[in-house]
Amino acid sequence: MIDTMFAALYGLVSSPHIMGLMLIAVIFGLLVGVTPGIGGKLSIAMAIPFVYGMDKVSGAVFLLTMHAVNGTSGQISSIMFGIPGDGDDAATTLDGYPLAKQGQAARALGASITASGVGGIIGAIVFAIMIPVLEPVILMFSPAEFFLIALLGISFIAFLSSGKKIVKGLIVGFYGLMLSTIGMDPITGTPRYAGDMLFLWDGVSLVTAVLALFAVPEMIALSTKGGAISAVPMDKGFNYQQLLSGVMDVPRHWWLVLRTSVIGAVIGMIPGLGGSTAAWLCYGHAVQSSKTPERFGKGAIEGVIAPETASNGKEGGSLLPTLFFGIPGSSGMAVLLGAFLILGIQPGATMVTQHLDLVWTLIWALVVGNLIAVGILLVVCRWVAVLTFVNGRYLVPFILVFVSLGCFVSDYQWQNLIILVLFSAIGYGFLRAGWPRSPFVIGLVLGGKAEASLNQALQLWGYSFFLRPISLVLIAMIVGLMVYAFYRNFRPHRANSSVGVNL
Amino acid sequence: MKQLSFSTWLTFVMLAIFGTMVAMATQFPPNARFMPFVVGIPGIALCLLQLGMDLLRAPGNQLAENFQAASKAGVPANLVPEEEPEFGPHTVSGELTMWAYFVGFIAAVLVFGFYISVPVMLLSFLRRQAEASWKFALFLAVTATVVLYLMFGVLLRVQLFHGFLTPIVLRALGFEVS
Repeated sequence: MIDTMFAALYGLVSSPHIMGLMLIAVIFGLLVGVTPGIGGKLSIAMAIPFVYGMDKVSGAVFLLTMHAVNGTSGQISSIMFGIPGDGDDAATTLDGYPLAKQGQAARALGASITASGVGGIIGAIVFAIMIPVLEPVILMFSPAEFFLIALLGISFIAFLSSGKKIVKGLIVGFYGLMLSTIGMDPITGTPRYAGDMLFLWDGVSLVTAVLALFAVPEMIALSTKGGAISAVPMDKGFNYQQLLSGVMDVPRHWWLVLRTSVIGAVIGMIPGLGGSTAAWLCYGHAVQSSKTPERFGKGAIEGVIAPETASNGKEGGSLLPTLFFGIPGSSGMAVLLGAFLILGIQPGATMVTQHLDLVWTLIWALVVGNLIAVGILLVVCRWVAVLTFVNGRYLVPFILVFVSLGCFVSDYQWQNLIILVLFSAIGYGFLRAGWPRSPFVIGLVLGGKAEASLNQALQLWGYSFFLRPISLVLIAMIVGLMVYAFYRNFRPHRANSSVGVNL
Repeated sequence: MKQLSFSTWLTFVMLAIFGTMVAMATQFPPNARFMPFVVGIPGIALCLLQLGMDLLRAPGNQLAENFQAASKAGVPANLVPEEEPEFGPHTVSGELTMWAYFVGFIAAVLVFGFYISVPVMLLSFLRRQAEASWKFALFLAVTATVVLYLMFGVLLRVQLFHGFLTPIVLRALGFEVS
């Protein structure tokens, strides 16, 4: 394993092609992270068509790097203007913005960028340490368990992503599963729901579905709301000496950095608990473990470091269920999982038995990508912040052009454009009604695998596969999850304790 | 009569989708219809459950829930802002305009192809929605189309969709179209 580990690192850094792609991915990811209205999920969805034709290592490294560094630049608007880009960054605002108001914006940025990078690297290390621990468990899984894991994944994410909206989340997940049945039936060869429409015989285009569910609704909403993130002028007292002092704050609080990164990585491993949970939990942990908790909320540097390490540390953790079980650890990972499947990367036990080199390459991509991102952002963060002044309405038409191009180029089928409009209507409905959308992608990407696993399990064991020991454990987990969700939903007059996850 | 929320209408739509797909699946051979049934029937049940929950929920509960969530987070009740909802009657016109742009753009791509539709859409959107000046909007539209051509047509050698009408017109004018 040590050989594979270092061979992967050598393969990564010695390839100018991959390093060039990583550099592009870092720059693109950082710009997208700070730009209003374009989140990590959307950026991956838009980039999917452009990784067609790449080999799977290059494509996967490109997309993962872009996703991993997205959050690193997201906190700039939180600190400089007190306006969090998304839920992950809200905790950073509590102490980051007061620091900026005290004329220490550069220090807060230096600390948050470095903490974010270090968190990402430690998250990748935690993932690496977990591989030998999890290997025997993964190898015990058979088609029966993979079918149930797919169901568990959908219920888990529907449950955790939305608290009281579990039924809505499940409907969306089942809708994704239902659409995955469109196309040629794998056993009889019957074209299901496709009729004479040949372009549907291979199933619904994943790229089209992802763009329709995420990109188009977000753009319509962004244009409807309009405006830029920031209307506040930038702090004039920005200087690089302060920035360096912020960077040095991270090693000064190394014990907090280590703890919060590990907590973030572990939270990332639990599907559905996203960056918001990790960031807030670690912010609370920093307050509780501080000898001077009264400083928090007024500009404590630990209040910037803790949520940033945690929210980026979770990326390494969330890669684990995504790659080994096919259950995305977060909504961003759900879109990334779809992209991996398009690239020909099949999550599951084979990732350990046959593609461990790819796993290590992805772990190293997280580490190297974060290092590059920190290096670039520390130099250019001042100017990158200007992007938060861009009016969303200037971005919308360009992104819609990108979306339609991606949709066409993915299969070279004009019919995909019609599918895009139809699915976008449903996707916008989900967004407008506040329904979670991530379970759809999970249902769509896991649907084919679930069906294949179910067929294999039925052929091997008949319906008795439900009685296998691990199957029973998984069924118990699904039932327990449902019972708890419904109990939480229907208990009288209690405040909802849903997790505030931005899925 | 109780007014149905957007979410409830959406549940009806989902129920119709699941119902139609399950009904269509009855025509498939037994093995082929197994998975659509395994997914579609619970889908219908979930939609019915959601409809039951929506219709039984007393109006005004949402407001109470918002207050509960805020007070749980430690925000004093008098500080809970009465925020305008993100979507509602005040956004319908903007939403319809955006949908008109989007559907119109896709329709234009299908009829005229990318190279004609892209600059027209960019110009009209930037001018009317983003309120950019004519010069700036025209500059961005032309630049974006040139970049599009250089990237896809020259660099990647990808033939973008020409639309259904454009090739006919070009042929009628004596141009050769692949």
